[in-house]
Amino acid sequence: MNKNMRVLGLPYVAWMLIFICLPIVLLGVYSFTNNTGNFSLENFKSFFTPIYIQILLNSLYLAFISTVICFILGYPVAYIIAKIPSEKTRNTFLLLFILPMWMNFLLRTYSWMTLLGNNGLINTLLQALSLPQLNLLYNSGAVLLGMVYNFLPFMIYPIYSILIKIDANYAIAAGDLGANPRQTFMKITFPLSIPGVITGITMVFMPAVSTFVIPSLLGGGQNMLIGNLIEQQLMQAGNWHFGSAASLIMMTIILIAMQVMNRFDKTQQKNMEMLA
Amino acid sequence: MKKTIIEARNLYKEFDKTAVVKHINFTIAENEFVTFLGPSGCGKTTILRMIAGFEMPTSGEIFLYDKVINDIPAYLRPLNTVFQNYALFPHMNVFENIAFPMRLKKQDKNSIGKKVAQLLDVVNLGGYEQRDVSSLSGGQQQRVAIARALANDPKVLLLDEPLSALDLKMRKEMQVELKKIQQEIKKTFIYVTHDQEEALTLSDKIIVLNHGQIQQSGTPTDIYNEPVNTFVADFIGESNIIDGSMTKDFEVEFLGKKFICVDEKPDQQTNRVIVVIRPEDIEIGQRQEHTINGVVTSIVFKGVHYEIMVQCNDYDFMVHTTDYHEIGKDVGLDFGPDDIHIMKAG
Ligand SMILES: Nc1ncnc2c1ncn2[C@@H]1O[C@H](COP(=O)(O)OP(=O)(O)OP(=O)(O)O)[C@@H](O)[C@H]1O
Ligand SMILES: [Mg+2]
Repeated sequence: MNKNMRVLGLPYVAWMLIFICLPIVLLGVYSFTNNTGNFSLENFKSFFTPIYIQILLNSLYLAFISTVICFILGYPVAYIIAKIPSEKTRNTFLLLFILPMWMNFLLRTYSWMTLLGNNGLINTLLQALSLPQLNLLYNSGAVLLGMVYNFLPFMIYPIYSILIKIDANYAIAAGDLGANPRQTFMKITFPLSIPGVITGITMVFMPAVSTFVIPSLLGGGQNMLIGNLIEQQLMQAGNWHFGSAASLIMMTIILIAMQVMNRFDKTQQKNMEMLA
Repeated sequence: MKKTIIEARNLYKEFDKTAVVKHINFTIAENEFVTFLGPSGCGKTTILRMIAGFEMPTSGEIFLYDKVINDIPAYLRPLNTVFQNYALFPHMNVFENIAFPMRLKKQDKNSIGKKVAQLLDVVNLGGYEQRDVSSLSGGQQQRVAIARALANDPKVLLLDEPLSALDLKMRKEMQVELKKIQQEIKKTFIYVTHDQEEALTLSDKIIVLNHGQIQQSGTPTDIYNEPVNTFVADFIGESNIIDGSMTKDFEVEFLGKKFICVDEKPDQQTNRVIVVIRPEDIEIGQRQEHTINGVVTSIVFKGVHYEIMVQCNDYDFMVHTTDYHEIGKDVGLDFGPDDIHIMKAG
């Protein structure tokens, strides 16, 4: 890199230092100190107690389930859209699935509340039909729904972009060699799309683990997740030390998950680079 | 007479109302090496894809032996294709690629292993089983693609410009190899190329196409020596194409001179004809009574022969000869009656 380039890069370096490195350093400092400012492992000790472990496991579990649902729903959608021959129609359909993302995240989640609530649209309708009301809001189901609804596009898009790039000749060649359409999908198309699936899983799982808006709006107080815990500790309880420790633990878990995913991705990637 | 394995009757294909293959008929015999030869866009690939089953004919029939196969999907046809870009599966190694069709048929492990090794021997890649396909050169990938296409013991192997991605030297080597493989395994090869030299080298039979129509079909020697029209004459090898006239059989007049020839008058409606003379059939020497006289305007060494341009009144002749003639020299061009090919005018 020459000198000019280095000068041009300075604002970005500054930006990174202030907005990425500094917060992480602060996070580390807070989580390893106590109220008096002395070094302490107290925060971590109190995190690893049954009640918080339960919250952590619950968060991981919900994020996992919503990732699985997103995959089951998202893959076929991505596949069907990628199969549309006309590029224009393809883009239109893709847009339909991506469009909700352009709306404010809070707004979208609030609107689910007005649909699911006790006085919401669905229950009003049930009432009008003299059917019993349902408890739709403030449970894990509502949280899952909110996660799937909000994060589904993150699954569809990477899978779609990989599927669209796979050379159509592979499927034609498989058919030529005697594979029926189902075998062609299972043995050729799906394995070749795995890098997209991995990106999709990562992009759904990460925000699903850490979200606090969805559980606090749709899950009510009963369904506390790790995101809520952190938010509560930082904003309400004012316990920055414990909140930072919880954040750090969550970040570590996400990093490990990503690392595992990347390992998969690399072996795939190596195979994909050829013949391209 | 060899048994016919593939036949097309009145085969017609259009894309978006544009005819691409126009009511063609051809037969291909068992164990024959047949080449579809023609310029880019003439419909070669489309014909091959219809035989393979990737493309549906708009009308007409394709027969395998005496059965119409129009409605049989590609994966059920006993034919296999070698693709121009090889289409080797990137997530499988060489062994897995070749074993793929046999795995689908649930053959047992031992026989798959043996068959893969045997196929790799046929294509001269013995011991390459565990290699990543991405680590192979173009020529090696090509061989793997051929081995894979042969794994199902297809009745016919379809090859769409399989050598076009290779450099000249590799291409020549693979031509020899392909011919050897075909003779060794005794299968029908249907080959597509726009390279006339490749077609002449490899084929038992060449089908020359232009604008979706068959121009001529026959052995390489037939096509080269007896082109039926100026398109074939011009497309296959180099040609001198001259306007002439014929008032009776076996005599043609061009460039102001009368010549004896071996052809009858092709068209009774008009005296106008087209004369084709191959550059290597012309002898270049002293000016004489019966020769066409001209001046050497250029000479280029082509490796085995010189390519000499000779300007004669209205026409520039191309001559291939091993003798050197310097630019500006007065020369006479001589050729025999059977070197003159007569064709119907336009
Ligand atoms: N799927 C398609 N849709 C529309 N037109 C097509 C399609 N496939 C081929 N064509 C057209 O049909 C004509 C013949 O194409 P084809 O691929 O058979 O030519 P080719 O002889 O194989 O040429 P090349 O030597 O360039 O490969 C071309 O004009 C091409 O544009
Ligand atoms: Mg082609």
